[in-house]
Amino acid sequence: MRSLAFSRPDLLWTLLAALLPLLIHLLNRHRTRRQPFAAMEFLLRVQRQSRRRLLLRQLLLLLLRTVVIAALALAAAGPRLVAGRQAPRSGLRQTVLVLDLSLSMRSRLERHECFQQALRRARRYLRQAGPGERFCLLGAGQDIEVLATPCNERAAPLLDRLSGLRPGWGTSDLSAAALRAVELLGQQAPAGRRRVILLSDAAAHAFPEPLPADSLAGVELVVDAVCGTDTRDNLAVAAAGVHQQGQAIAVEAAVRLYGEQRHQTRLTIATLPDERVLASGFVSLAGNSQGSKRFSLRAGPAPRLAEVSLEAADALAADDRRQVLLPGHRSARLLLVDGQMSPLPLRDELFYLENALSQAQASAAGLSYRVITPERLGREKLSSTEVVVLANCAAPGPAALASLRAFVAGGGGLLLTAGEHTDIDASNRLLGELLPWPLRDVVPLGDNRPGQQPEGLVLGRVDTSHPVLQAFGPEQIAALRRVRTWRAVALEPGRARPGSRVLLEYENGTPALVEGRYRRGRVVLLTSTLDRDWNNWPTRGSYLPFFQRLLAYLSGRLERRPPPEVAVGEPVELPRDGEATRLELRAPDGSSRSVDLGAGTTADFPAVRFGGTLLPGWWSIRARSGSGAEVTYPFPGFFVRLPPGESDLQVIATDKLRARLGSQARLLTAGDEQDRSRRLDWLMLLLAAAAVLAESFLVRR
Amino acid sequence: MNQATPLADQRHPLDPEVLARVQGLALRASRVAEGVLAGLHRSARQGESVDFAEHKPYSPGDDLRHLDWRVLGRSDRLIVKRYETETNLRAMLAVDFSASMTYRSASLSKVDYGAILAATLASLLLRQGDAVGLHLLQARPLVLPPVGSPEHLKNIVELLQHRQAAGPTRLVAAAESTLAHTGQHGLLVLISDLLEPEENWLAALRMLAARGVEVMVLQVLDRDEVDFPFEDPAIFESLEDDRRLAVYPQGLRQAYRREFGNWLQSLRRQLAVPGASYQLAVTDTPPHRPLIQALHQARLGLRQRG
Repeated sequence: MRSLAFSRPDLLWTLLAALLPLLIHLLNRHRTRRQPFAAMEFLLRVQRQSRRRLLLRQLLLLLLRTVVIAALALAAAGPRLVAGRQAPRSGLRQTVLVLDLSLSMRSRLERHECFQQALRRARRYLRQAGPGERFCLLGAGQDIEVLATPCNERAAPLLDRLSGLRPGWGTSDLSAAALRAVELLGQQAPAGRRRVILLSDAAAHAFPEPLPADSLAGVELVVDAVCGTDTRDNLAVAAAGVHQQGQAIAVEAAVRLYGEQRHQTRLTIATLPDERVLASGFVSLAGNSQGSKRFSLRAGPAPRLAEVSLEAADALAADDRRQVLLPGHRSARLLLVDGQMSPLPLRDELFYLENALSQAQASAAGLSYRVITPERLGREKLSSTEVVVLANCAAPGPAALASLRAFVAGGGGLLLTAGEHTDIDASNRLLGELLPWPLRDVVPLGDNRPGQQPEGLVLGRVDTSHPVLQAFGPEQIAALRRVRTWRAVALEPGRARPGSRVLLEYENGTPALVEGRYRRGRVVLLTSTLDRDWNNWPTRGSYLPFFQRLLAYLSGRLERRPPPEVAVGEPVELPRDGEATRLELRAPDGSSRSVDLGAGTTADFPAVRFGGTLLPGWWSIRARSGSGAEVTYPFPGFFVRLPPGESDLQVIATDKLRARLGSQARLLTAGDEQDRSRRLDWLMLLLAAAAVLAESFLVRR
Repeated sequence: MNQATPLADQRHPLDPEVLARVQGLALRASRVAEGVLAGLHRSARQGESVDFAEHKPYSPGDDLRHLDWRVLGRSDRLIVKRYETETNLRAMLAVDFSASMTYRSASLSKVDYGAILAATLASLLLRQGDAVGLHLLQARPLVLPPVGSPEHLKNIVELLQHRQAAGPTRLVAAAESTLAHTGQHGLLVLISDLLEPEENWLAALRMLAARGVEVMVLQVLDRDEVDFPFEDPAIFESLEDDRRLAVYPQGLRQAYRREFGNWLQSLRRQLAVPGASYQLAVTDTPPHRPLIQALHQARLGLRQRG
């Protein structure tokens, strides 16, 4: 027994168009014009002779025109002759329909999205259910969700539940979903026969682990491959890395081809949201390979969101694009206050630092500087400055002090270095809270014999976890430790300000470099000199990279690390930073989320985990302080990436499926479906063509 | 300044479209007559001198009044017209003025076309000195007895031009009036679409021919009646009575053409008797052509009879 089914039953309404010929005929009967004619005798005679033939011809024409339209409408609806199902066995059967809600269900087979195919199949199962057949619904996406339970014999509520369902952007574990379905079947009463139908694209990646033996025993398991079993080629932008060197940005995009056929595709990088194309190029890929394209761009003044996309008519469009954040480039402006200016360059306090920050070197690091005397500091407007260096300066005057306090409180960086002009008492009194650690006295370090070159002390502990020192490898740290210092400012023991951090220590434990916080700003204290008066650091190779990084850190440049990236559904770690107490997240679809960073110190809770990352794309962040004011945050947002495994649409083979789910698992393939159903659309088209031919033949007669 | 339209430039000067723009039946007939005469002469020059019965080369003693000045002017040859009028020909032009003749698909209706044919023939015959009469075939027929005066043409034209075609007709009346007004050696020219249900007129004409009257039948039809080119469904209405028929033309066209063609063949066959001739004139052809054909056939008929 075979029955007629339609792939697109929603198009059957077009059959109404078959009434058009009849309507036109009826309409024409009322709109017939009058024609005077002289040879009426002949017309009447011919009409008498041909009346029956004419009537038959008219009816035939009407019939043929109706058949043409009806056949075309039927062909559009995709008629198929489906092999009759076996007569349903009597008795109860409980079935769990598991809908795959993973990203790969957004892929297409020709014009049809796999998920829509899955919904059609689900509806067909529900509508063709025999008596005593009950259905539950399960959604298998990032999480496994029970959509309808207990199992129901009535199709209507289940069909309602199906409407409005959309696949997610993450992965799915269909093995786990099958287990959950069996668990759900175990909860149904009465039990009856049990069946699980997985409506999926049957991509191999959805069956990650083999299930324990006999875990699905007694259950009929069908994997209905809704998008067939043929390999569908898919291209994906697998990665996009951004590297900055000064104003130059390089974007390295990797394209992955899943499929046997060679492809050439055009890769484009464009800004968002205005989609201005920055660069494009072609990538050629052999079957199942990965290629890359490097785009060389110029950094703008501010960071920009951009998208790398490829042009391909492949199965899954969602993974054909990937967003990146192009960093901005603006030099950090430093103000160097020279406490020991000298006409002899080697005697000048800033001689070595200026060399380290010379134009060629500073341009790559993004630092530019200006030098003034301590007397001018009070008259300087610090609003256009990001870092102030007080090198071997006596305590600043009241105006300069007020200006400095406001500058650091607003987020500026301050480097204080010691020297002959350092006035311990005045510094402690005037600088006060700006100092990370109160000063005690200028002390010699090591065994310094009069008349001999002082030996001093090398550096001891180095805090390599600090951002300034993170870039230094073991060899660089060893070289750093060889710096000798024979004179330094000792700090008041036990009176370090809260939050201060020792980055470098001399081998006797005396702090060499201390970082402290003042409101939103940072203050670093170097207890020795910037020139060679108290140490030999300026002659060492570590001097240049260390001070460039230190000043970059004080300007906030080092925190500009690439935004975090997580896969859909993975939690993102949002660090607690500075004054920020609340983060406002703006999702790619424009909706907002709020994340409370909570109370407590950074040390107790270094980061907050945000798990609502279900939408892929760029999530922007705005940090708010307790007062509601916007404050700086280490990164402007984060990326939620599509899970890369979903781009591979290869369908699992039957033997592998059985190895994963058990021997009773059955893969319902497109071939099976074709065996059971015969397409009739070509027959309808043939019928329409024949009717057109017959109609034109009749009209000509 | 008279500006000729491009259409007029491209068409034959006697094309019905062009003739329709010529005002007055007399002028139309005059032009067609010129065309007929030119056609007859051209035909003679093409080697059909055997049919050149009405002309002969001039020989001393011939009446100079009968010299053909037109031929002399064109070819420098002295040709004398030999008039058959001298055989006392009395012609009756019977023109169908029934309602069916009012049908038109082009610029000239059948009755317009028939009037041109009649006026042209009258002009030609009167020019030869024949006596010409006119019989308008209508429910209430109107008859002008044959008169040989050239001025009579004006009366004929007046009548043809101002009489309205209407109502049914009886073609057999043409035979009756011819016998009454021309005697046994007359000429009857019947100009009609011949669409009369009763066919006793045919027997009457054959009898007339058998009695020695020359019968020339000019059947005037519209192209629509011959080809039946209609496409859209329509209600066809008779012009002479209240018959009507809803017709899907595409389905009937083939049968109609076959039936109509058979009828025309039958007419042609039945009028192929000594003393009678038949010529079909479709209103979209220049009227001098069927006239020339008809005149040739009529002469052929005379010769057979004689």
